[in-house]
Amino acid sequence: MNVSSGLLVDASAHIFFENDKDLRSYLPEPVKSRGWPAVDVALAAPIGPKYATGTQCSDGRHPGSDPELAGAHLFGERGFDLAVLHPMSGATNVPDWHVGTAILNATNRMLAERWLESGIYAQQFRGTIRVNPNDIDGAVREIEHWKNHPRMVQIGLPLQTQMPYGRPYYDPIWRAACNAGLPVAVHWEMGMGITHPPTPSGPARTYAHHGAYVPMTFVWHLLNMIPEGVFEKFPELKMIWADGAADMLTPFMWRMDTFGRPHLEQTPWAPRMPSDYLLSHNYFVHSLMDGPGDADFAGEWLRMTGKEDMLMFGSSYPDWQLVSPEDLPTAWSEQQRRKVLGENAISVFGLDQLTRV
Amino acid sequence: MTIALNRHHATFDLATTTPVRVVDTDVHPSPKFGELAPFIPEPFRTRFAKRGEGAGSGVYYDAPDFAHAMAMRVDSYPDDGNFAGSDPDLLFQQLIMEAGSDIAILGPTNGSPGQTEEEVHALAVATNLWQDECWLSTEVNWHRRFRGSIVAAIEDPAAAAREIETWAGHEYFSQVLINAEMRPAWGDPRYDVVWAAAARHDIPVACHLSRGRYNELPMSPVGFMTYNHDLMVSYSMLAANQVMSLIFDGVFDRFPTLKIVFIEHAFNWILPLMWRMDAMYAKHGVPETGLKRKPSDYVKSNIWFTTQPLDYPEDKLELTNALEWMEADKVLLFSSDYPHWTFDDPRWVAKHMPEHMREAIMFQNAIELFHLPKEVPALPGQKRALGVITYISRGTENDARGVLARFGVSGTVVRTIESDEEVFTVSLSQETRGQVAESRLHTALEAALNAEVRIISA
Repeated sequence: MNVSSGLLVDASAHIFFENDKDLRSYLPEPVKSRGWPAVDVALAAPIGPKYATGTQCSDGRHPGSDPELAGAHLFGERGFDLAVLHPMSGATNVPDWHVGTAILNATNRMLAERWLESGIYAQQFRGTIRVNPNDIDGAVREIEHWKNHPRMVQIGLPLQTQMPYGRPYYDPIWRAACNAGLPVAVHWEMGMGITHPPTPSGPARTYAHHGAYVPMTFVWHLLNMIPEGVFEKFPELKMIWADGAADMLTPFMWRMDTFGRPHLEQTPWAPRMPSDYLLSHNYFVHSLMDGPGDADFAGEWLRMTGKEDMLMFGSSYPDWQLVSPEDLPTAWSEQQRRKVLGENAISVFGLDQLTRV
Repeated sequence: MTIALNRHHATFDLATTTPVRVVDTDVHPSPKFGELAPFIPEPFRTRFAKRGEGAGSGVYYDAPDFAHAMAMRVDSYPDDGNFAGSDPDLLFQQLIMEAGSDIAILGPTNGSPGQTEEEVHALAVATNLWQDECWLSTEVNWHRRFRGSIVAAIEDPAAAAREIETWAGHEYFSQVLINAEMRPAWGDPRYDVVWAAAARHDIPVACHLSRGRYNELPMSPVGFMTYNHDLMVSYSMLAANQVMSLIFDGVFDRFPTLKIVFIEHAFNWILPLMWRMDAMYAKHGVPETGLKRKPSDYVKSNIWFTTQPLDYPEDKLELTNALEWMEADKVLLFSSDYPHWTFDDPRWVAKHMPEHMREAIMFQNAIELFHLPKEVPALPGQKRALGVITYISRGTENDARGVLARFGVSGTVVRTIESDEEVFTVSLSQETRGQVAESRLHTALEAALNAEVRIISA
């Protein structure tokens, strides 16, 4: 693997349909005439702009819906070589899973046609195959359909689910991902719907609380996947926790190793120390709220629990939490910076996936 | 037993005192069979009795070897057939005399099961009367080493506040104890009456990790966990949420003197959570929440965590660094979790704390927080855990051999010191290693030795 390629990779930029009418134009009947919540509907939202200044498109089209504008921002102004696009949607929160699957199918077609196969930045965009965990057969079909697309580089699942991702119900998705040779990125689904309350104690009362809390939801999925033996069953599986909060990995893996070890006899299908299942299976997108800030120990903290080999820079463009490389701690070593800004992405996605034209 | 004689405090010299060097903030007494019932008001007493008829174990998430130990230290069961932690004299002997906890703050967790707010409250009332009579009386607490908890049903805030008023000022009740799992989270104004009562009496409010029989089992935002370990480890996320709710919903601005103690929720997560809350506050928190200070400031002035379970990485220097970065001397209180199987010995915990923080964490913070005496009547023969810091572990090679014998295997045991840490290397034949459940053996050895254990092939 050529890790000195110097590629700068934005591992998580978000794209949208222009508006509801645009989405409907991609849908067949009977779904086309159905109703579903708009993508920005939520009880908890920041007071003030939801999207970063300058990301607005003309004619009231949704931020992140114009490939040329987004490409100019990501590649022109910010100097990245590649951006992995993760379409945002509320589809997996819709009770009628047929509707959810249809919206994601439309989303994948829009992503391929509009962003990956046409336009001046197509060669620099990479895509996410969005699938619905409430429809396992449909999810597997969608993966099969897109897996050979040269610019689809990952599978996308929601952070909010009915059951944790360790449950065997999800195995067909992991199997399909491994067969396709693609990592699975898990990202906070927009809006509300058929999700459990966002905290163990019900809804948060402020956005500050809600917005800082929800990305940590990965903890439950990961702590469940390890003893359920998912990484034993699927040794090739790679998970990308795309909302950040990788900092939580350190205390929770200390605890999982210390407390979990005496429990190993209960789970002979996952016999190794829990932390043995982290490396090469788990990656994180870095977010605006991550890390100790510009503390002098930021580099040491990144090293702990192997986070420096798991973290990938992701801008979250065009969200208000837009991150820039200038926001990264100055105490990181040059090598840590290179890993986060590109080398770890190369190890997740494979250089040929990223550089193929 | 000499202790039985000492129950007659007239024969005991209370005037000779000794400095408190270890305050243990997580100790679990439990009622002997039938001991609680007389304190439960009707109609609940009859209702609970009926419900209990023919009912067996209520465990859903089971600790290792549950069928044998029921998640308790096996040596903590009294000879009379009652449950671990039910005999005040045995608890005193094992925890105060032998382990060297100078003061034990009792946190009974039998008050949590209940189907309705009224039931939880009835159990709280009974548990307080029971503590007062069976644990904190002059007869039982002759040594003045036990403190109790005002169990309060946060499920019914007004009743909880009344219960606090009833017992506040009692010489031996040191904290309020509430359940952790109520919805909504604690920032909701409906709980203000509880915080107000606690703040009025300057008594800390503690909550212990639980199993949620009031709200059924604890459920995450992504559904139920599968095993005891993914449940218990992820349970800290519930505490993290309560911390965020208390802070972002302004509870500490409304009650600046309120003190909250998280018992057995682990604590290392507070370090990155403080960064995370501060980052959100800087970006988006000021106009929405109107907080007067940044979130990590409230953590350091109003919130405490107990040390057990002390989780650690392979490289313990990382733990030392984390303790420094989080300013552990401002947020930690020592706890052992006696009589649970996860018991942490005070000397073992002390040696993991940076030296300049050791006294704050082992006793000073707790003395200040709970208004405890700095001196207590001396107990001849009590093991002193702190004072001269000892690096000699509780266990010996013989203890290790005893554990091996219990597993029906033999091997050689070598004790070495590696950078001040004691390490026991146990060599087993390849054949023997195939016969035993090794992680169970490893755990049993660690519990007996309170030191690092390595099992290798002979």
